[in-house]
Amino acid sequence: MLRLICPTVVVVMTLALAISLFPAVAAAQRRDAVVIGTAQEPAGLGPWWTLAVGVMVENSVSQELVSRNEKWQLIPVLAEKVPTIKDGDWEVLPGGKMRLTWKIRRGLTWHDGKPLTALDVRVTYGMLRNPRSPTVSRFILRKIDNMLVPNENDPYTLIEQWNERYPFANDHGRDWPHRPYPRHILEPTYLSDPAKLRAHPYFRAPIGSGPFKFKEWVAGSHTTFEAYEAYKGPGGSPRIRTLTYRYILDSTVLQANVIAGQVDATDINNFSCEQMAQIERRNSQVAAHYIPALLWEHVDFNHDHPWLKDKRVRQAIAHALDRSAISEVSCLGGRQPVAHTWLPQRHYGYNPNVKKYDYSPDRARALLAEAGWATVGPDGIRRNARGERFEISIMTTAGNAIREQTQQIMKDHLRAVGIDLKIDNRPASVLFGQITRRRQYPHLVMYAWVFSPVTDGFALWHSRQIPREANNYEGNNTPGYSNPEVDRLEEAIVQELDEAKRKQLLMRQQEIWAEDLPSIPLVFRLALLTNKKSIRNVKPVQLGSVYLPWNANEWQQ
Amino acid sequence: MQRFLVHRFLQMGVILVGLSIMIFSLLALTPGDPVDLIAASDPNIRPEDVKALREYYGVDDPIHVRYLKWLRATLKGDLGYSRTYGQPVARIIGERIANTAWLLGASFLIGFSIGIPIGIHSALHQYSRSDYVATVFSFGGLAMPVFWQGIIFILLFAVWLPIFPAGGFTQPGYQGWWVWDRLRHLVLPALVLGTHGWASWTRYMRSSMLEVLRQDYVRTARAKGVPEPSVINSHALRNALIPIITLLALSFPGLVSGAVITETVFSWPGMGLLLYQAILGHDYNVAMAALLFHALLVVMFNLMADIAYAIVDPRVRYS
Repeated sequence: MLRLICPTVVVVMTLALAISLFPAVAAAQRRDAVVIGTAQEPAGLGPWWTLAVGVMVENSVSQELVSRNEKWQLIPVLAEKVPTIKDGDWEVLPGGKMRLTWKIRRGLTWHDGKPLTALDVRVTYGMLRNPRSPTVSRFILRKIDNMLVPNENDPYTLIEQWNERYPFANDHGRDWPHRPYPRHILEPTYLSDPAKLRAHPYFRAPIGSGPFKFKEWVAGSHTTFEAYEAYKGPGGSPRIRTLTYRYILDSTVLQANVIAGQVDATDINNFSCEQMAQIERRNSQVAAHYIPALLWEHVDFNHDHPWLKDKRVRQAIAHALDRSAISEVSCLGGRQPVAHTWLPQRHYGYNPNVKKYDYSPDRARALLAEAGWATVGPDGIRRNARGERFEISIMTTAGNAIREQTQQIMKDHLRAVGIDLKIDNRPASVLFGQITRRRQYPHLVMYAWVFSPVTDGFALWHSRQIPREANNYEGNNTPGYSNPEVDRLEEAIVQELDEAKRKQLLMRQQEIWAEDLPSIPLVFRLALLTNKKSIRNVKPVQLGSVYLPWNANEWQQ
Repeated sequence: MQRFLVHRFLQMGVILVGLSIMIFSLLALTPGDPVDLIAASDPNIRPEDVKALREYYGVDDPIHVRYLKWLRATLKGDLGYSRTYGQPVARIIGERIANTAWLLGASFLIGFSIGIPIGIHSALHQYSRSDYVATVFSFGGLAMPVFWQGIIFILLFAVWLPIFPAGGFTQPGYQGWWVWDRLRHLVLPALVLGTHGWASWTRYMRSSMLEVLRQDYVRTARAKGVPEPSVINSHALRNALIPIITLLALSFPGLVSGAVITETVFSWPGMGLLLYQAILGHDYNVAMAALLFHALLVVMFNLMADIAYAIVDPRVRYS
C-alpha cells in the first residue's frame, strides 16, 4: 500500500508543478479581448429582472432608442433623433395628453440579419403591457395609451400616444418600452402565452442589435460577446474583438483579479474606497475612477413617533452629528461630499443653498431643551417632562461594514448630547422586503436611494406616497413626511415640461425639505470603477441605467 | 445482507421525505421572497403590480400547498423551473455537479495522497521530529478557515507570483486544449480544499495506525520473525485502513459543504456556488434541489460506509 501511495504523491506534485510552469503566456489576455469583472451575476436578461448587472450586460447586446452619454446628455441610439417639444416631434395636446413621433434609424439589423424597425418597438410595448406578462413596473406603461406604426410602407416611424403629461417622455430607463426586442423571435410566444415570455431562451442567449453579439453564457462564470462587424449605429463596429463579463462575487477576490491584471475593467464591483486605494498602490497600470453618482445615503426619521414629530428634535439630531467624520468612514480624504439635501450634486435640480446643519453639539442641546428634553438624568441621558428617557433605535442592513461603523459614530455623538441610540440591524432582504416598505422601524433607519436624472421626488415626499395598509403600501415616503406645500410642489414638478421651471420647483422643494428635515442626509456616495490605462476611450457615465462599457465599441487597447 | 439493504433503502426514503419537509419549511420561513426583492428595488412600482407579480410567481399559496405541488412534481422527476435562470433545475444542476466533481475529485486526490502517507509516517515515527512537523502542519491546516486560505492563496499565487488564475474555472476565449485551461484554474481551489483534507487524513491515519501497532497480533507477527515492511503493510496498515474507509465515506458530504465556501471564493461554478446564489436570490426550486442533493449524498455515503465496512472487515456481518 505504502509503495502504491508514495508514487501517487510524486505524480500529483509533478502534475501541479507542470501546470504551474505551463506557459503563463496562455494566461495573458489577447489585446483585442476585454474582460470586465463584476461582483454580481445577472439573474436573467430582459425587462423581467431588476438587478443592475443584468442591465449592464444586456446593454452590450441590445440597445434603446436613446441613451445618455458621459455628460448625461440624451443621445439618439436606435432613433435618428431625440424628440423635443421645440422641434415639434413631441406635441403637447389638449386635455393633458402628448404625442411623440420617433424615427428609427434605417439600415439597422438584428444579429441574425433581420431588419430592426418600429414594428419591433411596437410589439415590445405590447409584450410589456400585456396583463399576463410578469413586467416589473408598469409606471411608465400606464402613461402610454398606445404605440402605432401608422404607415405600413414606412416601418421606421413610430407614434407614441401619452395619456398624461410626463416631462421625461423622450428618455429611457429600466421600465421604459424604449428597448425593442426582436419581434420575429418573440412574437409567437407572446401570441400563444405571454406568461411564458420570461422563460423564452432568448433571455439567456439574446439576439440583439448592438455593437456586440452574444457568444456564450456560462452560469456562475462569465458571459462573452463578440464584435458585430455589421453594426451601423453610433460609434461604429467595435475595435476590440470580444467583450467578456466575469462574475466574481467576492469583492476581495475581484480586487485581487484587478491587481493581478486578470480583469481589464470593473463596474458594480462592491469596492470600498480603501480597496480602490490598494489597487492604485499595487498596480500602477490601473486607473481608478471615483465618480460622483446619484447615490444618496441617509437616515429616515419615523414621523409617527411623537418625539420625532417635533422638527426641533430632528434638527437637534442633525446638529449633533459630525457628518464629515461619517463621510470619512466610507471614503478617506474628503473625497465624498457631505449631503445637505436629498438630491445629489450631479442632478440638474440640486440646490446648494439649502439650510445646512453643521456639527454643533451646543446647538443640538439647546434645541433639545427647547423641545422639552431639558433635564439630564444621572446616566447622562435626557428626560422629558413626563420622565421618559430619550432612548431611540436605528436600523440598517446587517453586515454592511460602512453603515455599521457610521452607526457607532452616531451613537457616540448622540450620547454626547444626551440621547441613547440603540443599534438594531436586519439582513438586507428583511430590511427592504418588509421594514422600510411597511414602515416597521420604530425611530430611525439608514439606507440609500439610487436616483436617476429623471428623479422628481414624488414617490419619496408626497404625503399620498406614505406606504400604509389603506393604500396597499404604495409609495416610498418611508419617513411618513407630510407638508401641504411640498405636496403642491411635487404635483407641479411631475407635470412641468419646461426643465428650467421644473428646476426652480425642485430648488424650492429642497429649501422646505431641508427646513423640515424628514431625513438626515449623510453623504452622496461615489461610484467606484476601474479600468486598465491601456484601454483608451473609456468614458464613465455612472447612471443607474448606463454603465462603464456603454461605449465599449469605441474602446481600443 | 439483502434484508439489511432493503431495510436501509426504505429508511432512506423516509429520511429524505422528512428532510425535504424540513428544508422546504425552513426555506419558506426565511424572510422575504423574490417578489419582495424585485419590488424593493423599484421606487415607482405600484401595489397592483406587486400583486400581479405575486400571483405570477405563486408565492402567496399556503406552505403545505406549495410543498405538495413541489413533491408531486419531484416524484414525477420534474425538479421544476429555476426562477433565476429560467431553465429547468435538472439541467442547471447537471452542469454544476460536473464542475463540483472536478473540484472534489482533485482535492480528494491531493488530500488523500498526501495525508495518508504522512499519517503512516507519523505513526511509525511517533514523537520524532518529523512527527512533530507533520502534527504542526496538520493542525495548522485544520485551523485555517477555508475562505481566508483561499484569499491568501490568490494573493500568493495569482497576485504576487502570478502563476495561477485568480478564480474562475475557465479563461473565456482560451484557444488551447480545454483540459489544460481547466487544470490551471483547478489547482488553487483544489489545494485549498485539499489542505483541509490532508490535514485531517494525517490525523486520522496517524491515530488509527498507532492503535493497530499496539495490538497483540502485530507484536506476534514481529515475534515470529515477519520482516518489518511486511508487518507494516499486510498486518498493520490493512487493519488501520478499516476505520479510514468508513471515515472516507462519511467525510465526503463534509467535503461537499466545504466546497460551498471554496467555490464562492474562487467563483467556481459548482453546486456550492449555485446553492449560495439560490438562497440569496430566493430561488427555492434550485435551493431545494441542491440541498436535497446534499442530503442524498449524506445518506448514500452513510450506507456505503456500512457496506464497505462489511466488505473490508470480515468480522462485521449484517443480518
